Amino acid sequence: MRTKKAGVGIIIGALAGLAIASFSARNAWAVVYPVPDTQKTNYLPNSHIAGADTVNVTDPFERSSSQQEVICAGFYVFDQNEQLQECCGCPISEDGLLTVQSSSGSTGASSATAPGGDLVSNPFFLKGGASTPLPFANVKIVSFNLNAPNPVIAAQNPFICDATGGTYPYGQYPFPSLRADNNTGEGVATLSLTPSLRAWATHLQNQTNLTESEFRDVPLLQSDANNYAEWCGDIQQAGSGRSVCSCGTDTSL
Amino acid sequence: MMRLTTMKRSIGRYGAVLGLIIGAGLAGSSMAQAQATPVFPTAFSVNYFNNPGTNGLDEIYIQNETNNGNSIPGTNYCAMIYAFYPDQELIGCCGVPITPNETWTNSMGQFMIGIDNAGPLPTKGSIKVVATNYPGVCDPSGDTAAATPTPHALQSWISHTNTLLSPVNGTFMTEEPFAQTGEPVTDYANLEFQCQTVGPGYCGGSK
Repeated sequence: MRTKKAGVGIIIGALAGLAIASFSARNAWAVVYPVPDTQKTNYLPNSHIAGADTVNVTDPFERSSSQQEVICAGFYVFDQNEQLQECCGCPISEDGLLTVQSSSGSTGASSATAPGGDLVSNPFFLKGGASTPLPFANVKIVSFNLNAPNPVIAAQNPFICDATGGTYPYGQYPFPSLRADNNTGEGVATLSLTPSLRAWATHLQNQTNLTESEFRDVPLLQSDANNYAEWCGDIQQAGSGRSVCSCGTDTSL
Repeated sequence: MMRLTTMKRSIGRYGAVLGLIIGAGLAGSSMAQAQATPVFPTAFSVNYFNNPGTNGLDEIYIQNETNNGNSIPGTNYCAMIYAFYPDQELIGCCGVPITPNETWTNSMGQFMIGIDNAGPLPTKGSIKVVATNYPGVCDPSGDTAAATPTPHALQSWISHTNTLLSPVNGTFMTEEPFAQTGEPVTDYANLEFQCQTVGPGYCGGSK
């Protein structure tokens, strides 16, 4: 008798558990959770001074069935007025080191190919009709998987890290074959988020002292990442050459 | 009689709770995703080095954070160290035992000379420290002794020398603790394998 009651209890409990779990799963569509360890943030003071601040990024995860060997560090650079001014995506391999300067010393579109990298010298907004490097920058780094390989361009560059999520593949990766995919700067921009970059930035303080800090983790929803990508496409499309930052040519692959 | 009834109710109630847990567990497991997810606490930590130079100023420090007499008794641990070129190629690897409350240190320049069996000496790169148990010898390749990554064991720091050109002009030193990576324990086998290919070097340094 005791065993029978216990058995009935287990069955009822199991059914209730499945019902609750099923309810939770259905409502998971409404409750959205951040994708862990995919967004880092830091600041760059006096960023317009050539070589003043430096960002170092590494991907510590080893390649596995759930982690690609090469992933992307998406840089989204904001000014003090919340405006996204520059963006770019930089490939980085497991245990590799990507080093990017805040400013290369050049300005405008030419800084987008600066060998040492450049995050602030090609902003979307013009001042007096000319590009003016940002004196202070807020930098978000989003880690995502390589964009889906385009078979036409794969031979030219298999490591496409399009920070626009494909909404405007003119800016950083001006491959004609990509342009057919989308050239509007609009639409759904999906970044395939993946952990787990670690980054540090040096800060030139008061133009006399240098400090350094690790990028801090910030929760990131998939929808937030998609917003970054779409905004990035928007400013690169409207900028016609502006708004593209430089990863540098220093290999991190 | 009352006791028997109460007991029966309890059995039924516990059965229901058990079933609830089993049911939720079954449903939860079906929702698991196959994406790399950081796990903390972790035995893995990472930082970068620049301008090591054979006579450079940069230093690395690794401390055994445990203490004899505490609730978690202090014990020896290995610091397994792996340094990489910026393009991910392994420069070299070494292992050093560290006793409770002890700090091991070395200059990055001398450290690179000790671990770099093939050259060239790097100008910058990433560096990873894995805390493991102490199986009698600290072998980062796992050839002579198998070690197991162990969280809550070591803390590490590294200094960076930064040379700023005009218009700032100057040499500045900064320092950072190593960042916890949260990578899966299975990554350790990958690191051991890479270390086997270049051969373990010598950490050198002082305690």
